[in-house]
Amino acid sequence: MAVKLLKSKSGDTTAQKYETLLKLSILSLGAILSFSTRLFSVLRYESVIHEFDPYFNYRTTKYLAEEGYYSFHNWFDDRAWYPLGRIIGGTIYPGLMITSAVLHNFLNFFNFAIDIRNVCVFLAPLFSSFTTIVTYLLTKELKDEGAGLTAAVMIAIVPGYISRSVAGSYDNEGIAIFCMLLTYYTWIKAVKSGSVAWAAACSLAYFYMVSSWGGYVFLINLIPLHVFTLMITGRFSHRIYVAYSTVYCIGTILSMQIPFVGFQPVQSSEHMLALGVFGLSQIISFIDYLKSKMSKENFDVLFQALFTLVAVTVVAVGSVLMITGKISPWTGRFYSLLDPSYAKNNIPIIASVSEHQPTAWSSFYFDLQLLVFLFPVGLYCCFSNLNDSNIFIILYGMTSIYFAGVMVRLMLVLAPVMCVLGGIAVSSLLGRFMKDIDQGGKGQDKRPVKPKEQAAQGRRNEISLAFVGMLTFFLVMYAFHCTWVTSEAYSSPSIVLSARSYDGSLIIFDDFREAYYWLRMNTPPDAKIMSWWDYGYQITAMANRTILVDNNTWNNTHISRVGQAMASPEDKAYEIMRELDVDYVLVIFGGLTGYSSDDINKFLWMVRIGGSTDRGNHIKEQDYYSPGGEFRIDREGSPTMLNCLMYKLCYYRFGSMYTEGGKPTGYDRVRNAEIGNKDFELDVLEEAYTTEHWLVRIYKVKDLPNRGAR
Amino acid sequence: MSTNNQRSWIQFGLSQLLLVALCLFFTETVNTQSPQANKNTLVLVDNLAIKETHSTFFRRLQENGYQLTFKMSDDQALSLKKYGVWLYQNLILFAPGTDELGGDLSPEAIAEFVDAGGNILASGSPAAGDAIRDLAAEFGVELDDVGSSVIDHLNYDARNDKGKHTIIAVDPKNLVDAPIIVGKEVQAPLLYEGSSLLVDPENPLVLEVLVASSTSYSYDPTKPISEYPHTVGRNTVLIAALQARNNARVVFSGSLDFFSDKFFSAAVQKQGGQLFEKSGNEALVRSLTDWVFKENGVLRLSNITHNKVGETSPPAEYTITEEVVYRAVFEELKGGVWTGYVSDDIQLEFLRIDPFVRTTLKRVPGKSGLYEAKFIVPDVYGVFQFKIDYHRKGYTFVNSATQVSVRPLQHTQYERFIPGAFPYYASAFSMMVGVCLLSCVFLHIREKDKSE
Repeated sequence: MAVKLLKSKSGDTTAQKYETLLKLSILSLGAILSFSTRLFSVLRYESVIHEFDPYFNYRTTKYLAEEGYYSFHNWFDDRAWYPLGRIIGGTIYPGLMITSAVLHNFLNFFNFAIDIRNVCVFLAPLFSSFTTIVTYLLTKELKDEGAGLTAAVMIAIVPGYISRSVAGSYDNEGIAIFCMLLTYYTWIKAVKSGSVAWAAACSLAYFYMVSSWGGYVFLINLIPLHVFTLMITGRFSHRIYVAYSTVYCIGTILSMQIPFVGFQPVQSSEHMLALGVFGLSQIISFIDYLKSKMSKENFDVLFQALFTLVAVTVVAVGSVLMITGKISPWTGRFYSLLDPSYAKNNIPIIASVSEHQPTAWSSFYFDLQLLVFLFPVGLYCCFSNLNDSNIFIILYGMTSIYFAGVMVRLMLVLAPVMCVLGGIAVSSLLGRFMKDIDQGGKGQDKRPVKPKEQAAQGRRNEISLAFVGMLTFFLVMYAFHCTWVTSEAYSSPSIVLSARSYDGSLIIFDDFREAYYWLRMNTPPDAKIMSWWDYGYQITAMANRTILVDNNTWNNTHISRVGQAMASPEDKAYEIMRELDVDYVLVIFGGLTGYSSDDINKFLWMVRIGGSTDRGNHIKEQDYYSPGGEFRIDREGSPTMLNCLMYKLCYYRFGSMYTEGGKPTGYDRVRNAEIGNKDFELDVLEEAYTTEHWLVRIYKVKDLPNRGAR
Repeated sequence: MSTNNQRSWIQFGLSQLLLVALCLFFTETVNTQSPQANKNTLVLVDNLAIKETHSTFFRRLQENGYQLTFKMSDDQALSLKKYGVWLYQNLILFAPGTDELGGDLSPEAIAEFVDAGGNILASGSPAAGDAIRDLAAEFGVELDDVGSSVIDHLNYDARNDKGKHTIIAVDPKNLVDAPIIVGKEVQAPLLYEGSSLLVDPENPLVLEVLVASSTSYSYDPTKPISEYPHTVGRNTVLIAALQARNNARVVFSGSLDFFSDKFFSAAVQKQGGQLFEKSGNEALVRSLTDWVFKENGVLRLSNITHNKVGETSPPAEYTITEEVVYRAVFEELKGGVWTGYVSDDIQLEFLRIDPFVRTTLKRVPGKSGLYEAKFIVPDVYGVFQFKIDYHRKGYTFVNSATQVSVRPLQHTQYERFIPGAFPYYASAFSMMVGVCLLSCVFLHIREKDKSE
């Protein structure tokens, strides 16, 4: 391990040179490792954008690269959310797109002709290399260079971070983690030095963070929390005053430049902690100033008077603003952070997203492995050597572990601090035991050793060796585990699926792209396509057609309308589809291949979301359950379920299909049941296209009957 | 390189040619381009004598330029289209007795003919066969049971009736209120002898052109009444019409005699009523035929333009609260010539699910058929449609939807300085000046302190 060698510090310059070289090579190897370990999907499949949201980001980036910033900023997208449209410029965090567009233009300026798609695909791995370096810097500030290098190498391969930054996963989180750690690094620097320059750098990093991810809210609460904790523990000083005041003022003004953020930093409750701490730090500094100028008696009187006055004003003004609605109530996503059951009970659309579900315990180990055990050790190290910056990392660790438990996707925020603390832990443990390892000839000669001491030394040596060996073994296991998880779990593009057939050969399901390509080539350019919102971004990006709802779930009633159409019988659905000018309906069906995240398995969410608005009052979740209270599609299923549009679109013509040997026709391989309603015809729709493995089925909505009645 | 190019050009040319040929071959719509081609008419009869008994009716059609092709309805060579091209534009079905149509014809084939734009004038009778009944069902009309006739004991024709009261004299007041279909000339009562029609209440497109009076009913005149009649009073439809959504027209009558020379020229007198020298049949049939074969009541909408006020071409997208002009030309086919259509009830909607603007199109003076609407785009962004849904009884449906996007203001289109914000501007600038002054003073005093 590198740390071993680093610990053998000797004073002479050659050793220092070696050390620098070693540090540099370890760091650059770590950066290269973090890039290359994320390339599994590109090597296995192709250089392709993954999943859902990245397709939107890719589409907007392409637009930005082609049309320029001002068109992008003013972009009104009439392809999405038909007929409402969406103001793209004002409803996204543009940091990601601008980063790739700048990178693309920069490379092309130097005649490296690289396609914008490839920039997008490889952006996340590139930024994870940067993250590796920033983690080194951050941990170096917190402890020492050895810890920094360990943390850097750890974050290079930690699966919790890789899950959202593999090549092709072109999402905000890919660069946001880098921005976040950069902000923390500059913040620690600012706190340590008390310099305005570092504080300004911190607010710039914060601006980059705000421009790239909605998770900046975590940051703007963590930094004030740090300052507040320092105040309580009596560590508040001029350094921190300067650092925080600068960061808050410049950072807030800069963050308000992002149209999507707008006035939120001064209005919404999520940002009020920052404002409150800012005010508090002014007051405390002012009081300190007064204290230094006044006698104690006078000061006490003044202090009491001022305190009551300020408290009363703050409460009064706060409540007035709250009543007039200037301070907006906390948004649903924020509530669901504090109370995991909030979303489930109140907002089906939030609860329906799988990445908003609470985390299972096993996934902590799966995503972090060894770090789960090193985390408390790291915390202990920080506690045992408490200073301003260590308090910050402790706070970061404690808050993020809570949030990661609430929401699966916040594992991403936890992973870096796990690595930092893990690095600190490994480094200090090794530092303690490496000292005792027999150094060979060199160390022995310095002083004569008594035989008794020699025996103790020998035992100590063995124990240390055993410990170091064990830790090395764990670290090697960690590396193996991370590589395995990356390769098996996080490197599938989900737009192309693969499975093993009985004889072990690989089957590729490329049905999604097949269907989108069909739409692109065979439907009129202004055709409107209705699908569940998951597929919205992909359809606009790949099929270039107008869609009703997409993954930017900003309008609950509109999504609910689509849910109602899917959950209604054909004639009711036809009215809704006519109202919304739908030309084609697209459903995802896994019954033939056994692809389990298809529309039938998502169907209950459509029912819930469809029934959550006034116009969908008639849709009741209970009607879709069998008398036994189960969600079934076989003969026991409820008649409402067996006659709704979604059922019919998925299972049209399926009743005569043999899917598995020894099973009757119409045997659904996901639900493991023979479907209950096999023989039916469609009245208002006609099948337009079904992909090779029936994963995607597209239907055309018929016109009104020419002669009046069907 | 060049030969390759040439070859690909030739290939391209060939494929183009093939495409054109294919298009020509497989055009499934009835050709409505030249007025002449519009008048190929197939007349199906079940008895060649009909040619004689209905000679006035056929003669008038021929005089108007229709090419009538008479065929027996069970002719095995019957066919409506050849090589995918429709041979006829109109179909007259005066063959009520047919049980099975000959050749390729079937009720479904005829329905397909209508879906491709063909027009049909068909007639049933009390003895109507299965073919005509099935066909009627395709158009939302049902003929009453075999043998039953419309009977009216109060409004029968005293001069022609033979005592069963099945030759009825229908008051012209019972005609549908749509002059474009029934004309304005029908004054005398209409003579009718035949079965009644039941109209499908679910079908919104069927029009009851002529209904019997309230004292009528439909039953077999030779049998005593043992069941409640299928149609009674004004529910007894005598002539029904349907204009399909593709503007193809169908007229169904329950009486073949209605079109006969005998009824055309007969004098009518209701029991104890006024004597009319000539029944209204001929006048009604004349307008009805003109309507069903699209000589009348054909509208079209063309030259739709929309743009911002003061501009000539439409923008890529509108911005909220812009003033927009919508223009369109409405024309009516009169005697084979498109002339401007005059009406003041044409409405334009600007809609996004719900109409945000609904306004009447106004005629532009001096320009025949040109209509215009000016309005302000609502302060709501989204994808809107300029929509015209002009449905008037007897006229062809005029539907038009033009999709446009309405975008919010661009970042350069907002007001630069708002009067209400002047205090804030003042405070910002005073703060800047203040900081400058303060730093000067601060530096200055500090220097002094040091020197002292």
